[in-house]
Amino acid sequence: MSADILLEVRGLRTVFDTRAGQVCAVDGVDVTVNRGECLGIVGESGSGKSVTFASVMGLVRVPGRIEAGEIVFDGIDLRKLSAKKMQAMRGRDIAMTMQDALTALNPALTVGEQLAEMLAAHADDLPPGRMARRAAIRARAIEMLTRVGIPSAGERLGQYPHEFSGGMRQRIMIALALAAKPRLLIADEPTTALDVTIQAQVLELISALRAEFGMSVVLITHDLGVVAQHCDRVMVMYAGQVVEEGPTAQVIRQPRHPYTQGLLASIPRPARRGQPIRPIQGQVPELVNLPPQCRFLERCPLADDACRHPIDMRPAGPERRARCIRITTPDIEKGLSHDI
Amino acid sequence: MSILEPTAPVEAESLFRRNMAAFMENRLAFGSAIVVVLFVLMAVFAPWIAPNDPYATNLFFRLQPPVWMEGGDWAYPLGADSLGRCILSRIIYGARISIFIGAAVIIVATSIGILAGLAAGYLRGWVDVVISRLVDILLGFPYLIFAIGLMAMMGPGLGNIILALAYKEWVIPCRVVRGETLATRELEYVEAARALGASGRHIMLREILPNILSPVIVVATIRMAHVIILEASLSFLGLGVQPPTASWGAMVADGRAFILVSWWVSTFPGLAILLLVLAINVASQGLRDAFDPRFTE
Repeated sequence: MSADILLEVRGLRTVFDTRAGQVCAVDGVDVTVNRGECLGIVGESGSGKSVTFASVMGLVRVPGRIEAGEIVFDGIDLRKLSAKKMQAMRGRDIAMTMQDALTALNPALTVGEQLAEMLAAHADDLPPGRMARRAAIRARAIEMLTRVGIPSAGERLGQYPHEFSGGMRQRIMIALALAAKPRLLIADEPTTALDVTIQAQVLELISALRAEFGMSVVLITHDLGVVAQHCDRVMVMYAGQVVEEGPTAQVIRQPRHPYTQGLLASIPRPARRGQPIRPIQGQVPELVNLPPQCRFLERCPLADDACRHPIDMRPAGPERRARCIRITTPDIEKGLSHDI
Repeated sequence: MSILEPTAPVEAESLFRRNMAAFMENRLAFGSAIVVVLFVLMAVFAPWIAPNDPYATNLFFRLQPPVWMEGGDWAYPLGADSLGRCILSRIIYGARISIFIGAAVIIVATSIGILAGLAAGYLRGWVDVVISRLVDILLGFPYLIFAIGLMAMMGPGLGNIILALAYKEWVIPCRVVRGETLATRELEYVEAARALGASGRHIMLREILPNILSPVIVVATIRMAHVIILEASLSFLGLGVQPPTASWGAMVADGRAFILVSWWVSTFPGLAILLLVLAINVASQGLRDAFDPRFTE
């Protein structure tokens, strides 16, 4: 559509064939990432957020497969690319950092070797000549490490991942992902394994680098607080579907979908001190042989028989959509406009 | 080696170096490793160490006993064989054959095994089926009989021995590498490498291989002892290196006819085999203890 769209996913459906039946981990997901924006993806474990972006990256492997949908990155249909061309795009155009920074670096190679290999594979503006090339790679590796906030980077190039702290390793992961200056960075729970002060630093870093490189960022997380601070837009996923999306401030101030409301209500807040936290009751349904009805039905406080058929995404205000038939009903709106 | 030499000394310590430190602390294993090294030095410097020409025959000294026995002479410290050749010199030169063949077979077999195992474990699919079935088939043959058959077909000779032994030996590292690859390919850092656009070749050789090298090294050293015995067995049967080249197995065979009257002809080369194989085995056990986390407390 518009030239501002970098990534557009339409009707993505990714399934895993298991002995228990077909698990539909991602079911009809649409994602739009604009140039330069930060999109937050929120959901519980197993909601399909990681699988959605593994599908975008072409990283879904047997027994999983992409059954339907189109993935268009900057005008290129990624599903039609050969494995080789897709591999060339990974890292260079779209890079993804993995959830667990503590295990996502190769323990047998020094950080410098890993960065150098990444640079050698993807950077095409290196000077000719072996020595000049080496020197350039080394300089750029130091530059990348310095940029992500690793002090005395030149010395630390020769160290192995186990000699770095968790936060430092996450920074190295980010440096690796950004080495080829990709246009889209997918950060899969970049802060989950880190403690709170380091979390804030890493997220600040991602935001700063996004502005500097003019890239788009997809931040996959289950922490709504992270999304509130760092993302322009947010998409809430539940049981393989998007249940709500819109500008972050609006979604957090006025969640339309009962699931988003439940998520927000289950965050402990100082303002509600003394009141019990209200967790969402029940569990995410198993994704095998789901009945054709609202997936949140079992856990929804508002559910009735009207919800027992497939629910589509529908508009829920300017630039907002939600997958709930209750959105337009005014009394529900009133009943739920609680203290968030 | 690295293009990124640190500008200042840093305490970079690889897993390999830590394991080696643990190995050094194991005195028995470390002592055995020294024995192995001595054997290697002996083989390398054979012409300077050996008291006599290992090929020079002298029928006057036929079946000469070792120096400490009646009729012994310092000219032939461990005595002489049925052609009057110095047994000590032949043992020293024979170390060259045993160690060279052992090392060559292990290097060839381990290289093939690593490539085949990585391909089977990482690529899976039909590649895995073909390689794994081939491994199963080769494992079904008795090793020595297989080697004898090959030697009979190809004829004796140094290169042929290496081929005949490597032909089957590669399945051992291959199975180890395949198993380790299957486990390692699922690890987070391999997935992370894929997410950053690493090619299959890069993942196999740079992400997986350096991380599974420890068990491969351990298996290679353990197997080297087996290969040395197999070479000695082939030479004993007359299918090994061509006489008059000194080979421990052939020397044992030479002395067979005189074992009751001149026991030293067979015994000393036999002891050499025993000592080298034992030292390699003990050293490799120590390596395994140091490198395999399951054996460290």
